[in-house]
Amino acid sequence: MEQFDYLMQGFAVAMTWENLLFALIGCLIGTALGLLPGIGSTAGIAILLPLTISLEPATAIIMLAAIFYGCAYGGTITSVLLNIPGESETAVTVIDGYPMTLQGRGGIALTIAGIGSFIGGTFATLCLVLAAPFLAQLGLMIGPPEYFGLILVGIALLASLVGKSVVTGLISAALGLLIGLVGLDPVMGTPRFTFGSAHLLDGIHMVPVLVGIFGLGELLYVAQGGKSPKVRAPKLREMIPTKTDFKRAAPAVGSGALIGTATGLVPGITSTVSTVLAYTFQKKTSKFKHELGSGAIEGVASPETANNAHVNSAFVPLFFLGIPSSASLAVLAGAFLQNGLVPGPRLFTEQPLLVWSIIASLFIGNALLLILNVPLVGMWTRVLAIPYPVLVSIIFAFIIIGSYAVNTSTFDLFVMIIFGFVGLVFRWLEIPLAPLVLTLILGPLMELSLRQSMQMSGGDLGIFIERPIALTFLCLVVVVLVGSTIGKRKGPRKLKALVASNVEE
Amino acid sequence: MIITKMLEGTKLSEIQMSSPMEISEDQPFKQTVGIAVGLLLTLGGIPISISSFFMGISSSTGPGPGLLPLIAGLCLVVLGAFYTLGQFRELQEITRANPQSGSFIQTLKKSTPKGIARSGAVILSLIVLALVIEYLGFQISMLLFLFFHLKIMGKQSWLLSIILSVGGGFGIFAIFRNIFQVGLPTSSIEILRMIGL
Repeated sequence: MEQFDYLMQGFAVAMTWENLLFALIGCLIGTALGLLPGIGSTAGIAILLPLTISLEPATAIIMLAAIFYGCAYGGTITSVLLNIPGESETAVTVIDGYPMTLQGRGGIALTIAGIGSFIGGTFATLCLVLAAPFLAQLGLMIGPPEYFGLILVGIALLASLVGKSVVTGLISAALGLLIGLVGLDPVMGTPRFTFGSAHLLDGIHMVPVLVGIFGLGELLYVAQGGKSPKVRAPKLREMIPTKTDFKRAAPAVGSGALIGTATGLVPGITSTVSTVLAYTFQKKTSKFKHELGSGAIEGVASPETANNAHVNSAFVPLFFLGIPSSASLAVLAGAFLQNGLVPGPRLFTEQPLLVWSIIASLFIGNALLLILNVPLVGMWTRVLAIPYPVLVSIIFAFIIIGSYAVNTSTFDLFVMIIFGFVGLVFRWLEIPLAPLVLTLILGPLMELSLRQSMQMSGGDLGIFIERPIALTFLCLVVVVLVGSTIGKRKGPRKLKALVASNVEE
Repeated sequence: MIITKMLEGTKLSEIQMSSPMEISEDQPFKQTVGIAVGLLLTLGGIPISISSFFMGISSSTGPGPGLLPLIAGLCLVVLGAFYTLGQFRELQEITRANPQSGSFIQTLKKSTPKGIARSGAVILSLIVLALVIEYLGFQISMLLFLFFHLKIMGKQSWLLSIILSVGGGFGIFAIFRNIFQVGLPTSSIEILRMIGL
């Protein structure tokens, strides 16, 4: 049980006043961003990433991770009280959450969602702790050829599963790779796509790119948004669930935790999918399935639990394989790199204390969100009353400072603006952004491992076939790409029919 | 996006998803832009692929600096072509299914100018800010930028716009410069610098 000793050491680091404070700030910012439709955890992490430069690596990542899972809580509040999902992963919660509000049970829905999220998140983190020693062994088996294969698997999974077609996913990945290649070649020092500019010799810094694509891109996309919704916050006594509520929610929370944890382990499957699966499972198995859609507590408990379980279990592929499951985690992987840490199999062996303090902070963050958010619903609803232009202006200020601060150069402001436009066009054309971020961040590492592999073999590509793990990864890439190309043609119709039949039942 | 599609026709009508540009009228316009982007990717991939040969595809120790740019460039050429074709097919289907959908220009006029104008104004304001920030300094540039967004774009009251712009320009500068030690630009104009801007 060596991992529990490590976990205790992690708690000791995560519970220093500085880390607790930044976890709290992250939870609050995450919840606030989750409230705003269109501005999600990815934008939040991207916007605040540059401001964490002066922080200790563990503190910076603890805060950014807290934004990531805090966002899901914020989205729930608008879904339940306003019928507006702040995030796509809380869209399913609307189906039963809002009818509960209309019945005067919105407070209960939020409490159950909060408790379910806490249980889901804690369960997934516990699974992470238990799996850690086995997965950490992977680090010892991974050399440059395997790492190259692993990154390809990550790209294939994200490119195939996230977008509406494999082609759009691969376009996004190719562009990210190209952006990451700008600058001096790391081995021979040959300039690539620098066009004679001294600014480009060091490459395009990922922070203004991420801030542009996710921060500015989202703001441009929701540029028409504007009216502050009117909302009535439930009183504290309206938030206490009855015994029956707890009894009915318990099985939904259990199934949601299992579904969310399992789906979070697969890179490319978003938490939105896990919420739909959890809801569908309730539709099939719940004793009260006939009530789903008209304000049943199970309809809130299961997707909310699954969502937070997914969010927490998605740290497993990031920590152990270096593969971010979503755009938000890809940006978080960028935060690791910014702090000189490479997420992946070697991280556990090289920086065990840092990883365990982040894992410990997941437990703390989930508890903080439960303690803070259930009683503070009134305060959060008041945030919704702040005029949208005021909120947007504040975010603009952060975006501008964040991009400028990286190199104290206006060049990075222009980089941010250009990529903001790219982000807008991509969103509009439904080209996924996650593969772009993944290759932008991992592209240089992929190139390095390819070159190291070639040096090891004296230029012989056979090294990828001779090593079984590398070969397995490459086969997996082919399977994923071919399988999803076929699946994308047949899948949507089947999935749509399945969900439609479940919801209409 | 997935959820929108999966729940389509069921409870979706009750869900107010916040995607201002996802309106059916902009479909032909969207596909037209998609075709343009696809062609841009294909045409852009060609010089990228060619230039990668000059970087060196292989070296004595294996791959050269140009190998990955070549792969990425070729991917763009091929994928861009596939994407263009896909968008072209979608455009044809939409036009066939709804002959009344109007021409490209009509669609542009009908459904998108507000969104484009607002996004364009945001981008333009950011470009102006980036151009003037090292001349006027952070405080004045940010003050003007925030005022533009609060008063002109956001139609907030004069009082609120002035308070927030001044607070945003000077307050944020003080906080980030003194507490977070972030080096924000000061004016390159002597007279402004003399008064601490």
